[in-house]
Amino acid sequence: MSQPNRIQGNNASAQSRVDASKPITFSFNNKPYTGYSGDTIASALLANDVDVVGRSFKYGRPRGIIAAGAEEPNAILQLGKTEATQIPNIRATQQLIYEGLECHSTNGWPSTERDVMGVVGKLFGRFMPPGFYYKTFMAPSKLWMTYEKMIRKGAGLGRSPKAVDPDTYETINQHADVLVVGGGPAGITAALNAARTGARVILADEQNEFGGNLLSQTDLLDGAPAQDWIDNSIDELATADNVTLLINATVNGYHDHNFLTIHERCTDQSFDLAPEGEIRQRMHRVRAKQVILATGAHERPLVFGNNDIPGCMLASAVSTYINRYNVVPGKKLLLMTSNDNAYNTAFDWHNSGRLVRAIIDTRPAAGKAVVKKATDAGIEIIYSSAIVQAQGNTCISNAMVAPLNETGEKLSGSVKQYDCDTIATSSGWNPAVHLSCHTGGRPTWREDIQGFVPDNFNKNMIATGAGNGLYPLAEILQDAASAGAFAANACGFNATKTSYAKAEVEDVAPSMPIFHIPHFKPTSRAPKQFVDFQLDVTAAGIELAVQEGFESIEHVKRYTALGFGTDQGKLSNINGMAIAAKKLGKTIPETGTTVFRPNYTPVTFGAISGRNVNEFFDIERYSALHTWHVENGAEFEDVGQWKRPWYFPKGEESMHEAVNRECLATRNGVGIIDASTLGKIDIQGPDAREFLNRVYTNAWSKLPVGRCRYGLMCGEDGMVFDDGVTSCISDNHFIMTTTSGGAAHVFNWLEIWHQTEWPELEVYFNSVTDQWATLSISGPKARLLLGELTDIDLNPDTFKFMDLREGVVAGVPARVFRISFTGEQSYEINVQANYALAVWEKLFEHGAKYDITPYGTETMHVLRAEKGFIIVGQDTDGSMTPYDLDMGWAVSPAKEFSFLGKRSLAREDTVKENRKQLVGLKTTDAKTVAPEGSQIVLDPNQKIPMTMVGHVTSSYYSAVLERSIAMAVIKGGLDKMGDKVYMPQADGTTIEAEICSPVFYDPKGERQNVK
Amino acid sequence: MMELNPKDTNIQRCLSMHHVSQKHPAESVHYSLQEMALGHLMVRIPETNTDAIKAIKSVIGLDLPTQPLSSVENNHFVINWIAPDEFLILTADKTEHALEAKLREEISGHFAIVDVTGGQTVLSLSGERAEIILKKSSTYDVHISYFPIGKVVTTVFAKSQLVMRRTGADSFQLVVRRSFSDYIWQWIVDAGSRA
Amino acid sequence: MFLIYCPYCEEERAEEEFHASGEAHIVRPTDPESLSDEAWGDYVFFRKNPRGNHHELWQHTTGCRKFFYMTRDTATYEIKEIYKVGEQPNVATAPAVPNKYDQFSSAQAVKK
Repeated sequence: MSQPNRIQGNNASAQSRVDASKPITFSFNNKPYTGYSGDTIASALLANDVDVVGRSFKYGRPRGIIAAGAEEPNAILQLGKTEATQIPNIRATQQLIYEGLECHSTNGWPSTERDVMGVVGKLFGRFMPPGFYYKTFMAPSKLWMTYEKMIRKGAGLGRSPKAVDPDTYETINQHADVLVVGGGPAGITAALNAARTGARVILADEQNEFGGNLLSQTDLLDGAPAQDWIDNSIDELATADNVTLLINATVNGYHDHNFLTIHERCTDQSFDLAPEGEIRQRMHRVRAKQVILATGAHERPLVFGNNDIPGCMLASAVSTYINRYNVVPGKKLLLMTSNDNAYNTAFDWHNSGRLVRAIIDTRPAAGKAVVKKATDAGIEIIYSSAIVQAQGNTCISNAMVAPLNETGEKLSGSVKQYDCDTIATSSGWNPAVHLSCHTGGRPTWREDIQGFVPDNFNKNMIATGAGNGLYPLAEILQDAASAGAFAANACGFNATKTSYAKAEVEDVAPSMPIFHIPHFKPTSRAPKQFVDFQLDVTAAGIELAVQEGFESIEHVKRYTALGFGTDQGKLSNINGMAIAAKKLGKTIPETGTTVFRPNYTPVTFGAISGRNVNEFFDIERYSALHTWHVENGAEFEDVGQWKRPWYFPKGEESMHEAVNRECLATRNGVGIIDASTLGKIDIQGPDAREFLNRVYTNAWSKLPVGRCRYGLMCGEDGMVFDDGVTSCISDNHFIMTTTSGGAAHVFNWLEIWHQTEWPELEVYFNSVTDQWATLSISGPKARLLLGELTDIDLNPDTFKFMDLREGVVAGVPARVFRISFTGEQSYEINVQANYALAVWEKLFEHGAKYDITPYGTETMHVLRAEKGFIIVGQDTDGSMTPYDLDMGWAVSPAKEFSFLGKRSLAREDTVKENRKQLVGLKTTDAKTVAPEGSQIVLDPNQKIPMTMVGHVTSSYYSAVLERSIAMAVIKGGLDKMGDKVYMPQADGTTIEAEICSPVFYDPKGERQNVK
Repeated sequence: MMELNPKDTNIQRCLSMHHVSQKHPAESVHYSLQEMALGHLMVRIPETNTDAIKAIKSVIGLDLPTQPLSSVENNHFVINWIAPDEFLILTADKTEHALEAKLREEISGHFAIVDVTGGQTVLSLSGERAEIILKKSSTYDVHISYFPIGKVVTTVFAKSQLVMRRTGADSFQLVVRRSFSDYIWQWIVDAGSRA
Repeated sequence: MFLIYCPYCEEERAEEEFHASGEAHIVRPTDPESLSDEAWGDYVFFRKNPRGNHHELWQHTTGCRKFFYMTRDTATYEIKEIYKVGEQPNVATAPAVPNKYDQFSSAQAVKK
């Protein structure tokens, strides 16, 4: 019979949220099942009387569903119909079923029914206490990797998909006056009171509908079923402009200064793959002025022998299945409780038409109201007793009950057996304090409720409801209303009164503080009493940890793995602490608590990355000529965030062939490169020269208008960190260039010195990197080409090397700088970026007859290396001074101001012998190109470890020289000209080279000055 | 200072978004995204240079906005507060050089003016999805109660940054640096493709 | 993600708009040549790293690009004050109050 546990007829729950007119087929472990719209996988499986949903992590014991919400530790499933849509470790209690859903148990090898570890656990379980990995699989140590594979295979949780995630995710930023976390009675009430003042309110709940605990219990509000109040309240909030309602949205991280993340699952509850064009999940990044935590509480189970047999459940979960999902998980219930509230579970069970075997109350007496109800229903109550042990294999067959003494620490009589197939327990409630701890808060212990409540160190956070240890519904509603009003007022709104629904006030007898039921055998010999179901941590294990000397709860947790699972110990933390405390002879607050960190429940990576994937993974910066480069076949290279042309292959050319061609074309004809990406900083002000003198190593006071100069920039430690050419546009106006990747850093460097150290200097800096496009032509025909297109007089005797001119090029106003990075005669044409393409195309039109050749960064690197020009960040690494680079000519020690870095150039360490110095290298075999990064040694035959004296920083094949060239930094290199050095390679070969000048080509620099 | 626009108006000009807007057209009933051709001048004036403030008023006809994050405008110009000593002046297309020349004539003392017309652009974003596009892109609170008409802020946008100003209930102007244009335009079109 | 008040923009902004630049009020020696290597090295390399109130230099990098100072408790992350370049702090760099969240004494103080 399908769904034998679905309640039929008159006994059906009046408040069921499941729609029996909409059946849904899904599969679990390859078997088909039917459930209804509104069912979770858990409620549907329970309806179908499925007992075993998995096997435990360590012992492989059969496990069933314990809870009904996020706190579920056992029903951890692998979900997904295809490889790409695989999701590991979803909680069956939080996943709605949809047509065609496929899920599997995550552990159980070879299958959940027949599990190898289960057999091992059964036979050898007593030899597998906490820490047993450290104690057993010790030798031989080289077999550990084998052991580990087997252990992993035997135990384990879900697996990650092996295909690319096909879904789309999004992030969105939200701002609210009041963020209310949790949409149960407290959250809804707080939201209503805050929203009515006009405050901007966000109300978020992790479940698929609002109502929280009201959906699980049978309370009346204002004399009517609670669902009426929920519906009316949500209607009001949904139609208010100033309210945002989020469901299927878990507030999972509470960060500094009231910044929270909300993980909204938009389509997970309905589809395996989100429909075309729809977002699967959305991460809300919320900044709220006030946060109200209405997160509710998780019920605690009681810890007793074999309390993990399928059928052992939380009392409130049983009520949830009955009232909300119209499912009774079994036929015969035995309830064990330390408090009045759990009696409702027995009443719900009874009203469903099934048998309540008895209520086992650990206390000597219970509240009048619940006793009356039990008596009226004919349910037996057995006081001062407890279930000490459950019996059964894949389901419960009976339970052993014994009398307890008044402290609950000892059994005071003999054991009696009771038939049952379901055991529901309650040890009380744990407020869900997790979010309040995310920024370092430690919750406060309340003796009266035997639980932790949020600390109030965050002045802009208010906890209310069961999440703050407040349990009677009438009190929750009143408190939440005040919280809502208070929060709105703290944001400057004006709530003058509060309103909330009325609930019955009940007389409730005190609960008994009890967590761990004693057994007639000592704990270490009793049948396993599970504390953490997900990680198979038992009471005996915790006691053993304490016995072995682990006294801090942090250590106990790590040693036993208590609370380590995906459930973050929601059911186990407090029980575990109580057991540890007892063994230590301390109170619970003395033992302490553990820390909770984001995220409250697991989050998909997709939701975190949002749209920052594929083409949006990182910014791609383009110059004004980018489209031309793409259309002309450029291969691109990343330079910082820029995409720069790397080389322009023709036809089937390899990179090597393309670069050789580009280099020769530039040295023999005219090459052109888009140099727009270089940083350009406009510097204006009467103190501009003084400022330049302070930040550069060389002198700027006398640079005439219309002249350019190359400058080196050092940190205060004397190390070169950037370089570039700075030009004098007018007496108080300069344009500084920087490396492409260093532009932002240099800009901030100038600002930090100006703003914090020299604010009296009158100078302003503005970035013009994007304002000017730089089209750089180079080669013996460059001047000819430019001459066809400009009104500027290009006579090389008057327009000298390192001069600049203003004029018109190809009809567009331009600044032309006679600067060269190639060693050929070069002109850098700067035009406003909007006209770059027009000028570039004109250069190509006129340059065709000169065989104008576009080149990219690779050729640029080769050409400059042939001339021994450094590239900061390639030939330097932050540890090279100008002298190390043999660039002492760029340092002006006579400058009046002690420029940045100057003092460090005289430090003992900076002037010592044998520092790494920049030199050139010529390989003995001219065709061999030494790999960049090759380590250099002086003696190739020395023993390993060899003494390394430097490394290769730049290395290329030079087409014009028909041999390889390289630059390297070598200890004392400048004094070792002509010496042979050796570079051992990973493949065992060694490359020999000779130290030489890094200026390989045209050492006199005649070509850039050609007449 | 050089006039940077060519005399010959036949010479093709490509604004920052020229190529990307053709490759990824912003065709939606839910929002509209358009590049505006304007002149951009970055003006730096120390707070103490009160003469300069007067001079600007005489040239532009507007008081420099001294209130942080505010803007002022008339039919011809917009002045945006960027920092205590930094203002972005927007003027009609191709009038930036003339404006700079006039300002340099009138302003004395320490100041700086930089034509950045080629280095950045203005995008006009409007429509029912405009605000939600901004929410998907920036941590700034763009609700009209906090970001009223005329307020201008420089802030993080996607992985980059830009200057944004509210011009109406559903409309904004975004100032984007040229080299980030393709990224920003594509990001906005993507964000606007979903509610 | 902190919320940080920029004293120039005169409003709070998300931490991602800023960049922390280390210890504040490092004054460059006016005569570096007269300092010993050790004294110069102190200035270049050594910075305070207190547990408790610390004066830090921050920049509003994706905003007004101005630098300002922040006195922040490095243990609790509480921002005590923000002040402009040129102003002086009101809060001293005092040692922090013994940290009640010390992870090695996670026990609650029990009232006897």
